[in-house]
Amino acid sequence: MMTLKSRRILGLIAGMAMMGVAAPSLMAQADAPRGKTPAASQPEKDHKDKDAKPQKDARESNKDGNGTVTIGQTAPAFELKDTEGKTVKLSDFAGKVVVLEWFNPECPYVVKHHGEHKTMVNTYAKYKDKGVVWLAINSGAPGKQGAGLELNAQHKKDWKMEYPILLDESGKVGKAYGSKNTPTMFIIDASGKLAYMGAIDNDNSAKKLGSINYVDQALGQILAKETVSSPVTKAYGCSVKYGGS
Amino acid sequence: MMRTLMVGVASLVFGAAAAVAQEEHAKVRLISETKALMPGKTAWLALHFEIDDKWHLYWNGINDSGFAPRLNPEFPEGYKAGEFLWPAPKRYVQPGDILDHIYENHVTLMFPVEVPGSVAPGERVEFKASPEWLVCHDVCLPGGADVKLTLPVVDQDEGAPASDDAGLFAKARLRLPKPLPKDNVPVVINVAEGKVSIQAVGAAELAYYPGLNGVVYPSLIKEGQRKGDKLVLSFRKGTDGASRLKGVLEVKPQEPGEPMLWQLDVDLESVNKATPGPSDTDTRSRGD
Repeated sequence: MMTLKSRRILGLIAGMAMMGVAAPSLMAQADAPRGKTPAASQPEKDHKDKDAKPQKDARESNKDGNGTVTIGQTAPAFELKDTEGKTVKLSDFAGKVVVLEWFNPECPYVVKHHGEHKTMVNTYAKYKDKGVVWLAINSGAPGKQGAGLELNAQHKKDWKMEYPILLDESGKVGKAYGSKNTPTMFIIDASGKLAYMGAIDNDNSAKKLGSINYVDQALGQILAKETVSSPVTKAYGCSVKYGGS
Repeated sequence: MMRTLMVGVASLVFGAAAAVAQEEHAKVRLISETKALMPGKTAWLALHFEIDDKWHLYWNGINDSGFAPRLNPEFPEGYKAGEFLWPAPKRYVQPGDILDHIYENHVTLMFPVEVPGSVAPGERVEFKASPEWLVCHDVCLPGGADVKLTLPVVDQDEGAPASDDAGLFAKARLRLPKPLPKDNVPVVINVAEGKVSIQAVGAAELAYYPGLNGVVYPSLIKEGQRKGDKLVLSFRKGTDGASRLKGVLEVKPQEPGEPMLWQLDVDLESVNKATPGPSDTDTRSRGD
């Protein structure tokens, strides 16, 4: 399986200086919220999300999905608030191609694709004028790494994200999609069906970019009405910081 | 808040004193089992990680998240690092049905290096590497270091004595899985209706750690570990058609003692076909 083999691809990584985990972030421990420390807790925001409808558990029979959702099925509906307090529903975008990006601004893999490289915003920029909608979703529970309205709003600004970040603090939308990593990517086609799920690219290093941007590849194919050549890949990254034990 | 603040201050003081300007949580050394190299012989080197309490590194089998350490060697001409021998990991489950296989406290990732026959006793060989890893607790931090190790070459007759780190290699070997023996096979594997049963008669507890490039296990989070001497795992072929059970079985004995670790690599399509009779006939797996 390509997804498994991709884990074996060894890459020489130049300059292993750790990403911003230098003295400034140690200082940031003292004023908690931005620090990359396990103790960093976010103030809980009153930002209740509407429940997503959980899909039936298709684990046993699913050959073309991630164990929860399947390529070709109707994407689970959701309604969440973004960092500006605006309610966003998947059904708002009926008839459009929608990209979902599972997000946690403090996850090193998200930092790789936003802070160090501009993978996400560049891919969005390439397709936004072709009617593609892009939504970031943060399923981190209150108090967990990367959760919280202000922190996400700040990163949206810092990273020049022109698309909304939706807060899914209950984790219901993340679980309905079977999203386990940040970033995990989904593409929903214009008929509302799942057309791609998995990784953004093919290198699971926290530093190095892959040679194939799967989302770019799949969006190009979907818009050209071609078959998506790699509809399922193995997502990589941090675990989604769901609540619960 | 007070506690956080004090940690911050302590880190700053430590950072200043030791010129360590990064939060680490895992420290790595490049080590050798012997104090010297011998021409034409295999040397065993390793990355040895000391991991902070509550933090972990990742095994290189199937995980829902994380990243297994990479060596990234820059060895001298003629010296090639072999693959890591990965010790058996520990299961780690997080909310959201996230299953990973991890190492805690410390791990020694051994690898062989073939020493060219042409090197002369008296030479000194410098091995360098820039390993990278991901260390996680509630959060994950990417780690990296530049490590090096210089070893002299000695005559084969002279012999290479054990290094101060030899004990770490011995300890690591205790957690390396072994191939199943050809005779008196201690593990019985059966396949029926999309499930594989793995039995080690007399075991108190079994755990299965899924390796790369084998079948897919949709319910491993529930099925991968249990008391008793039998595990039943749901499986399906990989999308590339992979049909092998590839992974590590940990067998905890009923009596106090070290667990056994078996490297499983069995084509599930051939199980139960080797012998005539009903499909649930016991078929001894072969340790290929």
